[in-house]
Amino acid sequence: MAILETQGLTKDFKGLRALDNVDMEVQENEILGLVGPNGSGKTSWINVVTGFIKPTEGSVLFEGRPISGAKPYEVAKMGMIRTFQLTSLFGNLTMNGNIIIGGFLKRRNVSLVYSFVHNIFHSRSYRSEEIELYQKTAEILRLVGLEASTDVLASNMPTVDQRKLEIAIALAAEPKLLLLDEPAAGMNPEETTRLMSTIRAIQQEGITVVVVEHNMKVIMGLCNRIMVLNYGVKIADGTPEEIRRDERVIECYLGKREYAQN
Amino acid sequence: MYRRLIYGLILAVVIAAPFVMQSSFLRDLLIMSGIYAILTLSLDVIVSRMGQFSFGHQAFFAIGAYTSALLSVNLGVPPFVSFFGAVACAGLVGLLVGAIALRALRGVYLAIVTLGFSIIMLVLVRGMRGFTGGEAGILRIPPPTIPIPGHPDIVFGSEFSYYYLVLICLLLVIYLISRWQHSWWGRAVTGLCEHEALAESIGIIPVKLYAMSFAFATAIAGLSGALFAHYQLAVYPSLFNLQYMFLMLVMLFVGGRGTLGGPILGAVFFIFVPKFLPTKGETNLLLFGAILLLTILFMQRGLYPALVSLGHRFTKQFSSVKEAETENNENVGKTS
Repeated sequence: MAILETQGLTKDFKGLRALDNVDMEVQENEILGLVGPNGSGKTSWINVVTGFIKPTEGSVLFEGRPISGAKPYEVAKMGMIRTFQLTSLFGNLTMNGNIIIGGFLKRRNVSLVYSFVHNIFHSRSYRSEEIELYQKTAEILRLVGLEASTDVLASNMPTVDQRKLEIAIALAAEPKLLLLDEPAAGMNPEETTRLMSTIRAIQQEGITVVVVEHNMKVIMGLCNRIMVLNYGVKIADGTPEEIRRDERVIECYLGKREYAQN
Repeated sequence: MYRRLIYGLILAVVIAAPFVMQSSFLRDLLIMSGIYAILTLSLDVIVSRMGQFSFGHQAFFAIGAYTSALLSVNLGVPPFVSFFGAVACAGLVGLLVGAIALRALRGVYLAIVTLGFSIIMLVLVRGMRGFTGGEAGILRIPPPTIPIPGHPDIVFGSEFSYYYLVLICLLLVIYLISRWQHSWWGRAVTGLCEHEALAESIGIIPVKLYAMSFAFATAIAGLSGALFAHYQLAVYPSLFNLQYMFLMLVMLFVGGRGTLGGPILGAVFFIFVPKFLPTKGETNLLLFGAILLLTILFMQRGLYPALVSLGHRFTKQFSSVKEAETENNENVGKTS
């Protein structure tokens, strides 16, 4: 079943067409790669699909239901969580604090006032939730490959760890569909390999992943399917093998025959 | 370990204060410090925990004062109950204002709108002579009482007793704010304040959280207003004036934003210090402005954080001296 589908998705920015009639699907529990040259519309696609930007035309369907016009927080509640291209963290909070806030949607008491009252009286449910949070945070840290550390502020962490923390925050929200915007940016080969195994592990958890990336090693090695955008138009869509051989893709993005021979 | 000792000490001093300061003059200062501490703490919720500007916060202080006054004088509601009314009213108005203003406005625009709101309230209250007593205000506000069956009521009429009433409220507010910070509500607002887009992407609804938190802050401001009303025993439209806003701001910024001790220290400082200086009135304002400027230039985070870091440095020296001593003793033992 297609967990996410876009139909005729178009976005115009005052004369610049960022997305042009994009029809595509994301299958449940697959890892889909989204590639294309800079400015091809990859981040716009994420922004439109997750409600940060409204589409000019077309529709987005999540789990079969149209969600165009939904706000980002509504999209998050449905189960789609995205990360950002520029490192986005709660800088003045600790690493653990960041991950805990990530779990906002999955908190026990939906009523904020009610949970405040529980906190005032230090009730049993408050204390047991704290323990649960602590365990959940430890699990997520292990999954993304971060060392548990009590006091480090997010803004003081090394860049690579910050990128991992971003993914950790998104995971804390327990997404059905996780959209990663250039997660490997700034990583060396060893860190990239680690990232790939993290994403595979996320897939093992039953989560569907869409990865926007420039790093072709990551895309080719990780993805079940790949979609290629160029100037907002979807020019190809298929398995890594199919994409590697697709002439239009080779022409616009991968460079000519040298890469095709890899 | 040192921290608990210091807090215990401060608590003891604060509880014993009226016994040491026996004059009416000093006790009055203590009470006003407490009331302003509560008010400034509530402003800090908006400024530091929400990262927003409210330039009409004194309006909620005044709304609390007027609500409690109206309830107890016109409707005969017992003063403690009217306190709840004041908190509820200030909170509800805050929720309304917050929901409208914080939907789309930030920064300067929010400051202007909140300022405008306080001016509108001032004009309304001054104008509705039948309801609010207009320019003459409301007088003969009864002091809070606790009825005890079979005994005479406990009346908080004296400065001595009122000080403890204010102190209990202050401790309660401190407790509530710190619990709030660690609840999901507080966490969500902290996240929102740090990085709004990221917070939204994990399901936090900006308008809802901002409006609720604004209401939380204004409700506390309402409490300080009610305490003020039942102490001064009269309320006037001038409570909506900006001078209270400036006083709060100066207390907050000099005392220390983002901390619990900062607003309290700021309140105590700006209530006590002017009374012991030869300057008056307008010269005081000049002085306050100068102190504010100096603080921003040299002690950016405020008085309280500066004192705390001084204390840390002191205790570090202390413990490193202890370590050196222990090492020395061990070495002495070894040579024999």
